[in-house]
Amino acid sequence: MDGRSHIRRVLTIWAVLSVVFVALAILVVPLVENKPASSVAGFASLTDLVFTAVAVPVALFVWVFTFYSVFTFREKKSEDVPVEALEDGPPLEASPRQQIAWLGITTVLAFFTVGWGMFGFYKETTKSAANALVVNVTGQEWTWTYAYPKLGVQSHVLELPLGRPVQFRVTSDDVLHGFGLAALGIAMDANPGEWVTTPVVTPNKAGTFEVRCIELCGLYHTFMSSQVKVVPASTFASWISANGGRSGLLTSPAGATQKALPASNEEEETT
Amino acid sequence: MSSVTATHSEATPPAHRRRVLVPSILSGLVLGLVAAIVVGVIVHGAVSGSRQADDTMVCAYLAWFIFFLVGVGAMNFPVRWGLGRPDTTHEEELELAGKDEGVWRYFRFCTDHKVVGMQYLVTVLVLFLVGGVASWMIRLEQARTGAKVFTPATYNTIVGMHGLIMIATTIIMLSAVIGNYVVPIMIGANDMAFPRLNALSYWMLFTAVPILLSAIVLGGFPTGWTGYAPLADQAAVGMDAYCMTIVVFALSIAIGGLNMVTTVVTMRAPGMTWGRLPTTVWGITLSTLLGLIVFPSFMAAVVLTLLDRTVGTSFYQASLGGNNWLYEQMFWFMGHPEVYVILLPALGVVCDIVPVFTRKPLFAYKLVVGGEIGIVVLSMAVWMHHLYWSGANLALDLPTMLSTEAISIPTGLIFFALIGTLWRGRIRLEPPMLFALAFVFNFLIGGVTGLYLADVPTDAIFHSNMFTLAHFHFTLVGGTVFGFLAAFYYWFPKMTGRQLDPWLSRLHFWLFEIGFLGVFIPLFLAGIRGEPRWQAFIVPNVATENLISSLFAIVIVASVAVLAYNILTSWIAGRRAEVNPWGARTLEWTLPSPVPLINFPHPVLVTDGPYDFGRGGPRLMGRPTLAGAGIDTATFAAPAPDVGSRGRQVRLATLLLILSDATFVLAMYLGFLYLRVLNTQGQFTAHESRPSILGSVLVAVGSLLAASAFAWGQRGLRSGNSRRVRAGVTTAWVISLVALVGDVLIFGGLNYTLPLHAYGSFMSLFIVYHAIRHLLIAVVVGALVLGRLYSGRLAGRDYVLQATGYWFWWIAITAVIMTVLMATIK
Amino acid sequence: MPSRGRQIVGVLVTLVVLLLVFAGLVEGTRSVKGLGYEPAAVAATTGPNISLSTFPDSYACHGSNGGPGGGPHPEWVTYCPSTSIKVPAYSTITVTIKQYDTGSTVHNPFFAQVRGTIGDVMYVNGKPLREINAEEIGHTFTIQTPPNTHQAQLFVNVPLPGVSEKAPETEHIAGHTYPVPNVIVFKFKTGAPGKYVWHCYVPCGEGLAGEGFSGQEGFGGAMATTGYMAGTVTVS
Repeated sequence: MDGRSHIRRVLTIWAVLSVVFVALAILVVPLVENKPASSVAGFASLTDLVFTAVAVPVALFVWVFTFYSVFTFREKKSEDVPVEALEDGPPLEASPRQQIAWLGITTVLAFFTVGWGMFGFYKETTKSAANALVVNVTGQEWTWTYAYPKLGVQSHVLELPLGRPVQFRVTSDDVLHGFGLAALGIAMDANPGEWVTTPVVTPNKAGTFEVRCIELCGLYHTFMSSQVKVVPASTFASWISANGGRSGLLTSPAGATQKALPASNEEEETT
Repeated sequence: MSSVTATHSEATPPAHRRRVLVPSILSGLVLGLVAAIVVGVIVHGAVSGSRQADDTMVCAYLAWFIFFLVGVGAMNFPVRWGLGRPDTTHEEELELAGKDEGVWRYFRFCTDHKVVGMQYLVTVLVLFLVGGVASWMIRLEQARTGAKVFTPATYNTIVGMHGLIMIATTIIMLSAVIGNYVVPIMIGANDMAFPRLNALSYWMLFTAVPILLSAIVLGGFPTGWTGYAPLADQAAVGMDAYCMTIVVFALSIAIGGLNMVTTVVTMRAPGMTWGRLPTTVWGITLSTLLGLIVFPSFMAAVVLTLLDRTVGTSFYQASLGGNNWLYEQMFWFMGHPEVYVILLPALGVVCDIVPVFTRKPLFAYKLVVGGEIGIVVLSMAVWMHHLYWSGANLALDLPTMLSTEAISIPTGLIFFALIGTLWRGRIRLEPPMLFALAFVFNFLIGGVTGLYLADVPTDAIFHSNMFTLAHFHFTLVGGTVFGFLAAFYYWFPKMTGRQLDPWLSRLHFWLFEIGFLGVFIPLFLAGIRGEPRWQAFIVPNVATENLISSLFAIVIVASVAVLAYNILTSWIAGRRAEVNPWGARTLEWTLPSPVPLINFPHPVLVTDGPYDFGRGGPRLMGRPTLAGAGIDTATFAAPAPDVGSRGRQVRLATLLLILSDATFVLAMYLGFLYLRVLNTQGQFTAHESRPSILGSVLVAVGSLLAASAFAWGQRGLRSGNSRRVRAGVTTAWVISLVALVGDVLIFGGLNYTLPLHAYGSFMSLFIVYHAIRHLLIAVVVGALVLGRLYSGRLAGRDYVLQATGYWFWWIAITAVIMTVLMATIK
Repeated sequence: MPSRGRQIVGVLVTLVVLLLVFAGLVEGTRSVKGLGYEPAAVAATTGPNISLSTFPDSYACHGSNGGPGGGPHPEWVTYCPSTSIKVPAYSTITVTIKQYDTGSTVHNPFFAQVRGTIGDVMYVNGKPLREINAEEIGHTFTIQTPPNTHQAQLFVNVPLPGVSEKAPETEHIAGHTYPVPNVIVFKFKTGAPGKYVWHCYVPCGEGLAGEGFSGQEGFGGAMATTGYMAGTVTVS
C-alpha cells in the first residue's frame, strides 16, 4: 500500500472518530458539569463545550496518526535481528507546505480560542449594573463573612436575590484566600489590605450553592466554605429585615457603650 | 562503527584508602552537622524573643550548607588557587576524577561528569520515591470522605512536601542526570567546561535534601509548594526549612546551568554544528539557560519571606505597606517558565528517541528547535495567567490570555515532528519507545486541557481546582516523567553496562501508564464537579472519583515495585550491554558500555546529522580521528588546552552568572517600585527616613572607581607590565574594602525600629545586599585573584582578570542604580 | 536468565516491602505531634454539658504536646482541658466557658455578635448579651460546618469578653495565677450526627513570628494549631 492510501485511511478514521467523539462530548459534558446559575457561568459552560468540540479533533488527529503508525508500520520480529542489520525507513522530511499548513492551522485555532474568550468574557462582564447589589466579602482564617453595606446586614450565609445583578468586593483580614463561587462563574482572591471587585453577575437560578476557598490558607482551608442561597426577591427582603434589626443591643460587661451595627464596612477602604 | 568489546571498569581495590574518609561525604556530613549545631547554639543564646527559633534554624542551615561543602572538599581548589599554589597536574586531575578508585569515587567530590551524572541519578530516584510516597499518602487520605488518616495540618505539610520534592526532582531528572552523563559525550567532549563546578552543583543539591526533610520535625509548613506570603510569614519554623531549600536549590541550578550552556557552546567536537546538535542537547541547554535566568526570582521571593520571618521586615504585610502581590509576581515569573524548564529536556529526549526506533529522520528538526526556542521566549511572558484572579493585574488578563494561548503553537510543532517521524517508519516497540509514545499521548491531554485554563471565562471555574491539578500532572508527569523514563531505559545500558530486563520493563510501562491514567482522569472529573485543590478531606459529591483515583494509585505503587526490582537486579546482575543496543547514531553509542574514564581518547569528528537514517551514509554520526595534527590527546578535562578557548569559556560563564544575578537584582528593584506604586493602605513610605544619600553616592562612586582601577590594571597584562597589573588590582581591592565599610556605616546610620515598614525593609535590604556583594565578589574573589597574582601564577591567564573585571563593573552599575532609586523614590 | 516465576516473586516481595515501608511512613507521619495533633476528648468535653476554660498561657493543660518540633508551648494561649469536643445528637448542649484572658481588638465586627445559640444570647456572669464591644474580646468560640457534607448545618459564634487588664490575679491553677474569670454560658441545639470544627476568630496567636503590632498579626501559632485555639466537634 502506498503512502497516499495510508493517508486516506488515516484521515477517514480521524474524521469518523472526530464526529463520534465530538457528539459524545456535546452530550456528556453538560451532564457532568455543575449547572450554571448565572449567564457568566453559562458562558463558561458554553466555552467548555466549544473548546471540547475543537480540542477533540485536534487531539484525535495526533492520536490517530500515532496509533495507526504503531499498528501499521510495526517492524515484525525485530528482536531477532542484530542491530547492525536493522533496515532504515524512508528519509521523509516535512515539506515547506506541510510546515506552513500545520503552523497556519494551529495559529488559527489558538487565535480562535483567544478571540472567543476575549469577546465573550468581555461581553459578559462589562455589563454595567446601575442597581447592582454590592456585597462585601471578608475572608478570614477560616470562614467568609458577608456584609451588605447599604442594607446594614452581616451574615455568614450569602443570600442573594434572584435576577438582580450583584457585585462582590473581596478582602481578607489575614492571609491570602480565594473566593470561589463557581456556580455563578466568578472567582477572586481575598487579599489582605486590598479590596478587589469582581465582575457583575446576575444569578438566574434559585437554589443552594457553595462558596469554597480556592487559595490554600492554612489549617482549616478545607473547611472554609459558606452556603449561597439564591432566593426570590421577596424572600430576600424578609431575610434582610429579619437580620438587619440588630441595633437594639445590650451593653457588654466591661462597661463600654452600646455598639450599633456598622452601616458599612467602609473603614477598610483603601486605594 | 567500532566493534570494541564493551570494557567494564572493574572495581579495583581502592588505591587510596584515606580518600574514603577525608574529604568525602563523611567528612562533609560531620563538619556540616557540627557547624550547624555550634552555630545554632550560639545564635539561640544570642537572640531572644519570638524570632529566636527562626533565626536559630536559618543560621544553622547556612552553617550546614557552607561547612558541608567545605568538608566534602569543594573549597579545596579555590583556596589552593588563591594561595598561589601551582596548577594541578594531569595526574592530579585524573585522581580527582576518580581514576582506578572503584565505587568510592561516588561518595566524594569527584569531577568526572559521568560520576556526577550517576550521583544525580541515584539522588533523583530516591527523591522521586520519597515524593511518590507523599503522593500515596495524599491518595490514601482522599480515598474516603472526612479526614480519616491525617489531621488537616499534617496533610497540608504532606502536600507541600510532595509538591516541592517533585518540582525539584522533575527539574533535575533529565537536565542533571542525562545532561551530566550523556550530553558531553553527545557533543564529543571529554567532560563539562567546569568539572569542579559540576561536582559542586551536585553537592549543593545534596545539602538541600536534609534541609527540606527537617521541616517535618519543625512543625511542617502550611503553604503548599508555592510558599505564598503572608501565610508563609506566620507559619511554624518548618517554613524556614522550605525557604532555605529553595535558596540552596536555586544556587545549584544557576551553577549547573552556566556549566551546561558553556559546555555546549564551546566544546562541541569538530563537525558538530548547531544544525547537527541532537534535540536532547537543545532541550537540556535551553532548559538550563531558562532556569538560570528565572530561578533567582523565586530565590528573591523566599529571601524576602525569610527576612520577614527572621528580622521583622514587612515585604508582605499589608498593614505595614507590604503586599502579597509582590510575592505572587516574583514567584510566578519563575513559576511559569519553570514548567518549561521541566518540560524542554523531555521534549528533546523524546525527539531523539523516536527517530531511533522508527529509523527515520526527525520529521521537522528545524521546527522542533525553533519551537523550543519559541517556548523559552514566550514562557517569560505568560506568568500572569496564574494571576487572573489575584486582583493584581485585571487589565493585563486579556493580553496574557493571548500570549498563553499562543504558546500552544510552538508546542504543537513538536507533535507535528513526532507524528511525521512515526509515519511510515520501521517501528520497534522497545521500552524507551513505549514511554516516548506514552509521552505523545499523555502530553497531548495535558496540553489540550491547558486551553481551558488559559482562557479567562473557563479559568474562573477551574482555577485552583482539581481540573488544574490534573492538567499539570498530565504535563509534568505524563510529559516529563514519561520522558525521563524513556531516557532512563534508553541510556541505562550505556551508563551502567547492563541491560534492564525487557519483560519487567514492559510490565513497568503498562502498570505505570494505566495507573497514571486511572489516577488523574477521574480527577479531571472531580474538578469539573467543583473539588478545589489542597483539600485535607473530600466531600461526598466527589467521593466516587477520588476513590477510583486512589485505587489506581495502587497500580502505580505496583509499577514502582517492578521498576525497583528491575533496577536492583539488573544493575547488579543483568545481562551485559553491547556498545549500541538500539542501533542509534549519536556519539555516545560509539563508546563502550559503561563509558570509561576518558570518553574520547582520540578526538572525534562529526560527519553527519544525528537523524540521517535512510540516506545510505555511515550508520553513526561521527567517528574517532587518529592522533595527530597537533591535537593533544593526553590532556584530560580541558577539552582544548589553549588559553583562548578557556578564556572564552570563563568569560561566557561569568556573563551567564551575571545574567542570573541580574534577575535577582531586578526582582528587588522592580519589587521596590511595585510596592511604591501600590502603596498598600498608604503605609509604604510614611515611617522610615531615607538613608544617607551622600553615603550611597560615595559608595557608588567608589564602586565605579574600583572598576576603573581594575580595568586600568588589566590593561597592564597586554603590555606585560606586571607592576601596573598589581597596582590596579590592589587599588580596586582596597577601594572595595572602603566601599564595604561605607555600606556598613550607612546601615549603621539608619534610625529604624522594628518592625520595619515596606520602605525601610527595602532600604535595609538594598544596603545589606550590596554590602554582601562587595564582600563576596570584590573582596573575597578579589583577594583570591590578588593572591594568585602576587604568586606570579596568573601569567597568561588574562581571562581571570577579564571575568573579575565584569563583576566589578556589574557591581558598580547596580550600585549606581541603587543610589538613584534611594535618592529619588520615597 | 531468571525465570519468569522468579521475577514475579521478586516483584511481589519488593511490592510487599514497599507497602510495609509506606505503612511505616504513614504511621510515623501521623505520630509527629509537631505536624498537627488532636488531643483526646476528656470528660469535661463530652456530653450535653461542656465546660472549657481559656487561658493566656498553656500551663494548665499542655504538658508535653504540640510545639515546633513536638515540644510544649507554654507561652501560647489555649483552650483547656481539650479541644476535641463530643456532644450527643438531637440535643440541647450547654457550654460553660471560664475566660481568664485579657481582651484585644477583633478586626471583623461580625465576630463580636452572638449567633447560632438558643435565643441568640449568651450569659456573661449571669447577664444576657447579644453582642459585645469589638475591642474587648478575649476569644471566640465558633463552630462551623464542613462543605457539601449533607450533614446538618451548624454555625455558632460566641464572643468571650476579655478580663480587665487591671484585675488582680487571685486564682491559682496549675502553679500559676490568673484573674477572676468571666463565666460565659450558652446553649445550642444539635441535629443529626456529623463532624464539625470550631476555632477562635480573635487574633490571639502569633503573627510575624510573634511580634505583635497592629494589622494582620496574630493569626499564626496557637490560632493555627489544633489543641490550642482550634479543634473539632463531633456530634454522635
